[in-house]
Amino acid sequence: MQDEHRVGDGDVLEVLVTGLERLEHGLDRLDVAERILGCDHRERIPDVGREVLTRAQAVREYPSLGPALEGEQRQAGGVAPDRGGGFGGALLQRPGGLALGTLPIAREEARLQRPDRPPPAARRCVGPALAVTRRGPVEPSGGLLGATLHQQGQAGASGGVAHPGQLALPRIGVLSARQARLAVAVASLLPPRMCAPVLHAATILTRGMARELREVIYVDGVRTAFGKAGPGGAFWRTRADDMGVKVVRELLRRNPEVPLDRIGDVIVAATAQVGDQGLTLGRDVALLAGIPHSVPGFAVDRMCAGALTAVTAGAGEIAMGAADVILAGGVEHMGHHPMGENVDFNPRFVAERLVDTSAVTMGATAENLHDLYPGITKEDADAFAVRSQSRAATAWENGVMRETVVPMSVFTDDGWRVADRDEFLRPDTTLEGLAGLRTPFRPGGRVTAGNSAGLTDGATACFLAAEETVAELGLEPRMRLVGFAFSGVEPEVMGIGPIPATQKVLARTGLSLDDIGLFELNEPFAVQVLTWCEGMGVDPQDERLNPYGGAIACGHPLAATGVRLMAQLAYGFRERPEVRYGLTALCVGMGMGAALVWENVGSDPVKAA
Amino acid sequence: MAEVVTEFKLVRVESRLGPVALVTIDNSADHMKPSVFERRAFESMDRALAELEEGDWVAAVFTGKPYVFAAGADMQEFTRLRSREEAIAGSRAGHDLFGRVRALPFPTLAAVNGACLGGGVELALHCDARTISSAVRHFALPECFLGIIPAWGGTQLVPRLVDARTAVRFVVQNPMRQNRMLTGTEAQDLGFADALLEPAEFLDESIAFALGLVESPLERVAPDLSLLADAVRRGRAQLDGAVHGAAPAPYRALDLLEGAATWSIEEGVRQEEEAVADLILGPQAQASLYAFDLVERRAKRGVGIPQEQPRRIAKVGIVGAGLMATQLATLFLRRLEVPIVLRDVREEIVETARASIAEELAGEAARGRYTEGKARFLAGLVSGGTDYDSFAGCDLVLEAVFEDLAVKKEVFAEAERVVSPECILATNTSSLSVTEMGADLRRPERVVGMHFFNPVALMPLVELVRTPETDDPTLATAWDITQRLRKRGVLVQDAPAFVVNRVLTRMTSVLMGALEAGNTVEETDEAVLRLGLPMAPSVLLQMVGPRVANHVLETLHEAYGERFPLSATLAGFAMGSEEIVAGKGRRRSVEEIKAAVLEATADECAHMLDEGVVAEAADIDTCLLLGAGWPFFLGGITKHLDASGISERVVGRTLARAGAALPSLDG
Repeated sequence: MQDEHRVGDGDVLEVLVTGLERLEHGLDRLDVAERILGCDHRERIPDVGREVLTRAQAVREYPSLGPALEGEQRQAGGVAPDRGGGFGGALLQRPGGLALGTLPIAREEARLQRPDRPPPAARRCVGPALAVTRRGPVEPSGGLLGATLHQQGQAGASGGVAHPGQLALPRIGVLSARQARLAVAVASLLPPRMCAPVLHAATILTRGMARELREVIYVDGVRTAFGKAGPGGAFWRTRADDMGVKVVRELLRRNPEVPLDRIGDVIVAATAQVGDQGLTLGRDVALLAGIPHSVPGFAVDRMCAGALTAVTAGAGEIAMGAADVILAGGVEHMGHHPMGENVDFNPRFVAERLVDTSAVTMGATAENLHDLYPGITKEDADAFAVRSQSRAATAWENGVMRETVVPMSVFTDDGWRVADRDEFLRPDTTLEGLAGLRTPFRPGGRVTAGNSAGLTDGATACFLAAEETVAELGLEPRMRLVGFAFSGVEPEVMGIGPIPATQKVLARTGLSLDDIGLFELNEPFAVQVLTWCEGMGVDPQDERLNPYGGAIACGHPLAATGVRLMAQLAYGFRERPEVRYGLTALCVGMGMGAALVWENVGSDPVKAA
Repeated sequence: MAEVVTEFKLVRVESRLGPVALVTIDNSADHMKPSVFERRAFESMDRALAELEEGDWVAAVFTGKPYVFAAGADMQEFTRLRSREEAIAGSRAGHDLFGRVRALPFPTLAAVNGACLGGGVELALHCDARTISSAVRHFALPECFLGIIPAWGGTQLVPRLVDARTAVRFVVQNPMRQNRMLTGTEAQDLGFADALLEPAEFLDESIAFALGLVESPLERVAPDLSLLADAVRRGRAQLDGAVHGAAPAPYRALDLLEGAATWSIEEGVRQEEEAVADLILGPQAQASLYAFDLVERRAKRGVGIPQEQPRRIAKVGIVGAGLMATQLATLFLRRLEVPIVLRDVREEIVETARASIAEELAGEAARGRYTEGKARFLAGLVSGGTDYDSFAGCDLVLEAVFEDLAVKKEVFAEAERVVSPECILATNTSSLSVTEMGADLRRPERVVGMHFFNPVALMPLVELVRTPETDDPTLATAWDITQRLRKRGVLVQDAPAFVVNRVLTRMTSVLMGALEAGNTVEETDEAVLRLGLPMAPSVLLQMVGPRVANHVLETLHEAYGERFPLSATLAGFAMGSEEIVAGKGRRRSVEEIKAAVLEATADECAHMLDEGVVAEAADIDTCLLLGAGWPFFLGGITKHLDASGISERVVGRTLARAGAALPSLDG
């Protein structure tokens, strides 16, 4: 009898690997293999385990769904690794009503070898599976499964690992989670009596087990044109949430591969969470955009770092396996919600001198930066502003804005019009022109309307996805989130926030500044960028820094800005395929900084214009 | 109030294919004031067209301000028309301007983003293509409903766009069916629009659609115009059954549709001009415009209603659980969503009512109007029994018991025993004295009449009856409740049978007299139908029930004597007999009966105005339009009586003046 056939440790792996592919074909027929195995070399046990359970349930309740249960109980016995069907074939002939007998298998073989059929996903996965098997850590749940199988003494139930008696527990212990899942999946083909214990094991497998964090990929991002806040601006009569809806829908339109119900969360940032930005924006925007009601959403606020925080919060959900796809972005209608509106500052801030009173006026904090870095003059700031404007003007001629800015029809006093261009562009800005501007924050100050970002209405949104989901859905990966950091500084010099944030994220990712090939920094004030340059030792004229200009030329709708930085960085990566890492960073009111490091993982570079 | 002027606001939008003209029809007011095409709108459109004709445009997109595309012509201007020439000129001005839209040498698109009525539809039809938002709920040509015809090309372009039967339905039948309108989805299904787009990003996608037209024009299959004749014939037959020739406009519209099969567009629009000139100064059109104003504006204002803060209604008691009471309970439940307590003399009656309400709600849930949970919640709000104690805590007790004053007085007395001093006691009586009903109460100032009409769910009128005792908060609350029930209230004084039943009963008296004099039921029915009234009186009598009708007659006879002679025939009907008791008088022709009905009505209206039952003739008309379904083209009735000279002949003055001359009796 085959029972006598013993398999050594090395053989187990061998058998496993040779058998895997065929097992996977079998699973294909239940349409689970793709889900189980389509995910490259990263594990996704909870999701898939649950799916397998669901499938198994369906098979059990509706036998016709499972081809394996079509026939009468077969009483064929024994495992024959060397039989024509191979190991998997043998397995699929195990007792217990499996209908994939010799004949069906032969048919299956023929079907599989048809040249017009794409190779099953399984084939792609054997390599990684093997790799995992050899290198992977001991997974306690693998052992658990093995133990369960062993205890049951059910040959078939051991799902591709031959007979219980033949497998030493320690060996099963080095099964990768993938193989454990496979075993479970195969077991789910079996009739209830046999698969129940395995499914029980699978439940344990999917419950609270340790797993690797998943990589987070930035897929795509868009923004509205940025308008001047106030009655003269394009968006004055347009609702903030409708602006959010616009960018979200544009994103959905550009990425039709994403099934709406795969979106795990919709996260929208706003600094003023009242009025047309008040109804838990992520949820509000999702419902208004036509995303299924089953998809949740929420709002975040970290002032100017709102969208960045929406992205990091979403990245956390993806990494933890709580979501596969995240829609994140920000909206700020500063025309409808002037800064500081409805804010009730705690008198303790002043009474106890917790912060300097200048901390609440962003322009004043910018003046403070000049004090802190006396080497940075108004002329330096103006020169930076001129550069920002001229780079932005070029960018509007080239592809980046065409790709990242979505035109939106807006109702105005002049009827409907289309907002398709930032309202802060002044391509003919000169040093001389800037020199004479008023310094509203301080008599004889250095911060002017010309070297700062204007008050802005705008909205942004982006898609993030787990690396495996990107592959599964056939999305185009753009950037991998390498790491991020937020840090706090003195509120009255909030502009220096990105310096410690950048240092922190570099330290945590083990990268150095030299590794970073592109910097997308917000420009609320030219002096703010210049302090970062000085603090980090980057030449303000460095070509890596804000190649498409910045907020001085396009505006800064507080909580929306982060995704603009990402969208432009992603485009920068495409223009510069040789660049591997990039940074998006900005400073945050009340004294904070935010910095995210991204890796260029795109594969469709555009040629530099 | 600042004057509202509609403008055609042209904005240049750069696109990948070249400049697109984006034209917004906007009167700079909010959506409560839809943009209409008045004289200065056309001046603005003329300027916009000049720019369109001269520019380097690749396409033009016409759209409206949020929620409104355009609501068509300004009806206020219609009432100011003085001559046929003016009417023709008004129609021609539209034909000329819209014709210039059709002649533009680049693709034109109407992006129908919201309400699109009359001339709005016609402008859209002159464009090469139309997109429509799935949020649109008003897409219609209401002209026939208003006694005129679409006269800016509608009758000629509709049959060239959609199939013949749809054209007849859209131009004639829908307006004549209580001015039915199409939704965006329906408009697209029927072929009026080329694309149905979601409301979010509607205009962005419409602009993209227009650019698509630039790249590849739509290929349209022209409908078979030879089918028009047959569709018009069917339409005419159906119309005969509905208005019996009383309203000329829909017939003219059918003629124009039929003509479209053979005329060129230029010939067709000239015919439209003639037709509208014939109609618009005529009595039916003017009466329709008057009626429209009453129903859409005046009735919403609450004429004579005190400006008091209405009381909160958190629990409603309904006395009686019969058919009417059940309908009322259902209405209050659905609109107010508050606990409803039913009370009747026997537990089974209450149980039957509750079951019927629950069944109705379940039916609505099955049709998707309510979620199951909501239906369960609402059904759970209904309780009831045979005692009055459960009325404790009610803010309103409405009685709908048998029409017997003693019974109703007892009901109110019992209710007053358990309710708070503020609780309103309302009666749905159709003819009894509301004042007497409250006479013995401790607080008669809380008594008010709320007279609903059968079927409650459909008839929009509530006669709000004020007694000399009724105080302002009570009346203001009754008005507020009426609004929240989505009904229209008309304030009437406490006089027997109020307005609608009094007019109908006076009419019935004439008809009964004719029957007793030897006329047939067919003849009396025909006399009333020839007026254009919606329902044959014999059918109406069956619906109301001869017992109720006779009871109202008795009440009115008691109050007014020989204007309302008791009828042995009607009394017999009330007892189940079908016999007509021969009476005095000679048999008359149908026309004579019709004339007698109108004269009696004029007389009764004058009496009501003299007594101050209502403040103005307009109130009588509002009641008849909303409570009896009398047609717009009679303007309720007084407009017709005045315009045809009947008032002058019968009561020596017009009714409009009769009402205006009297001081208001309220307060």
